[in-house]
Amino acid sequence: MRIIKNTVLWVIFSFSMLIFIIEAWTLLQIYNENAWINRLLSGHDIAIEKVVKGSPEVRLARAVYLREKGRYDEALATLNLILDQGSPSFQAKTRYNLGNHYLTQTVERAEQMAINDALPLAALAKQAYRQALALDSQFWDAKYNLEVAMRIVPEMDRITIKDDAKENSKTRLWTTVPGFPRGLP
Amino acid sequence: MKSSPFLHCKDSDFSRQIVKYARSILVYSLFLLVACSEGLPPPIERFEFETPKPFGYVIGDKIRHRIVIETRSGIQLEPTSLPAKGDLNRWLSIDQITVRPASKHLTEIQLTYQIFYAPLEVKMLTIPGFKLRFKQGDQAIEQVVPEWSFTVSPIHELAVRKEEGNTYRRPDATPTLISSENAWRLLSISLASGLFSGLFLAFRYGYFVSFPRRSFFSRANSRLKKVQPNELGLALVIVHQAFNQLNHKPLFKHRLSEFYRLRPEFKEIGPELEWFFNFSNDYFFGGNPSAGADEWAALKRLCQRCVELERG
Repeated sequence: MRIIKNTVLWVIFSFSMLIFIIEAWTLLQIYNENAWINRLLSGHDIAIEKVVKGSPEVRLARAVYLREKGRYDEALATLNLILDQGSPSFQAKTRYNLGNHYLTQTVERAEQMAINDALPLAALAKQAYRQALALDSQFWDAKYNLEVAMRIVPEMDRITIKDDAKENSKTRLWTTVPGFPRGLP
Repeated sequence: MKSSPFLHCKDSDFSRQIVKYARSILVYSLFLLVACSEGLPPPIERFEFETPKPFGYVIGDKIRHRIVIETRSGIQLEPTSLPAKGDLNRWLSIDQITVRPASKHLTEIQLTYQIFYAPLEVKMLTIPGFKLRFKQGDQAIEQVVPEWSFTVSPIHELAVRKEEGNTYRRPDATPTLISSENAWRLLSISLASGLFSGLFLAFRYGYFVSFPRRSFFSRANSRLKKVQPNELGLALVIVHQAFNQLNHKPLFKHRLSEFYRLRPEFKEIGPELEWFFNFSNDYFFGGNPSAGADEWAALKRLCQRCVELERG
C-alpha cells in the first residue's frame, strides 16, 4: 500500500514537473515572440530564422512591416503562408490585410490607368474582405474597406466603357464584380 | 300510340322520389365529409417566422431568421426544400442553416444570412422567400416562408477621397500580442501540484525531522546513527522515548495490546517489539548489560521499520 501511495505521488510529481518545464519554455517563447512582434511593428526587421520558427502572429507582423516598407511581393507571400492558420479572428485579420494589399494595388493601377490590371485586383480585394467578414461579421475595418472597394470599381467600369470599346469587351469578363448601375454595390 | 296518363303520372312520382332520395344522400354525404374533414387537424398546425429589426444594417452584417413549425404526426420536412448554404445572389449569402427537431412534431430552423451590399444611400433590400416542402407518404405539403425586406445603410461617404492621404481605407490589422494567460495558469497549477506532491513525498520519506506529529522514529533513527556501539543503554532509551511519545504515555510490554489498538499498523512488527521489550528488560534489569553486533543490527532494523510504519 505504501509503495502504491509513493508511486502515485512520484507520478504526480514527475508529471507536474514535466508540465512546469514545458510551460516555462512556452512562456519564454511567448515573451520572445511578443518582443519580435513589437520590434516589427515599430518598423525594425528581425532575422528571418525567427520568423520561420515563429508563430503566425510574428509572420503577420512581418507582413505588415514588409507592406509598410513597400515590399509588396514578400508581404503577399508571407500572408499566403498563414491564410489558414490561427483562430477565426486571426484568419479574419490575415484576409483583411490581404484585401488591403490588393486594394492598394488596385488604386495604384487605377491611377496609372491600367484598368484591366486593376479590375481583377479589385475582385480579389473584395473576395478577401468578404472572407474576413464571413469569419468575423463585426470587423468594422473590413466592412469599411469592402465598401471602398465596391465604390472604386463602378467608377473604373464607367471609365473603361467611355474610353475604349475594345477593352470594354475584356472588362465584361469581370462583370461578376458588382458595381453598376447606380445604387448597386 | 298514346301513353296512359295514369302510367305517366306514376313514372313521374317515382322519378321525383328518386331525385328526393338522391338529394338526401348527397346532403348527408356532404355533411359527413365536412364533419370528417373538421375532425382532422391541418398538416401544419403552427408556423412562426421570427425576424429581427428590419432596419439599421450595413455591409457584412448577419441577419438571423427563426422558423418554428409544428406538424401533424407522420409529416416530415424535406431537407432539400431548404435553401443551400452559400451565395444566394451577388449580395446575399447564407452563412449557416440549422435544423433542430425541438420535439416530435416541432421543428426549429435557424437561417443566418450575410449581406454584402454597398448602397450609396439607405436602400431597401429583400431576402427572397422560399417554399418548405413536407411529405406524408406520397402526399406533398408546402409551406411558404415569406420574403423579408429590410433597409441597409452606407458607412462611407459617396466619394472615395485619396487626396487626404491614406484615409480612403482603414489601415492594416496588426496582430495582438500572444496571450500568456493560459501558459501562466498551467504553470501555476503544475507548480502547485509539483510542490504539494514533492512536499508530501519529502514528508513520507521523513525529511521533515522537526515535524512534530509523526517523526518520532525519524528523529530516533537520526540519533541512533550518532550513538557509539558501547552506548547500548542510550540507544535503548532513545527507542523507548520514541515509543512513549507515539503512545502519549510510557509504553511497557504488558500494554502492547492496548498500543496495537491505537496503532494497528505496528501489529505487523509484533515479534520484533516483543524481542525489543524482552531485550531491554534483560539489559536494564537482568544484569546482562552487554550486547553483540546482532543485537545492534536488530535494534537499528526495528527503528527503521518503525520509521516506515510511522510514515504510513
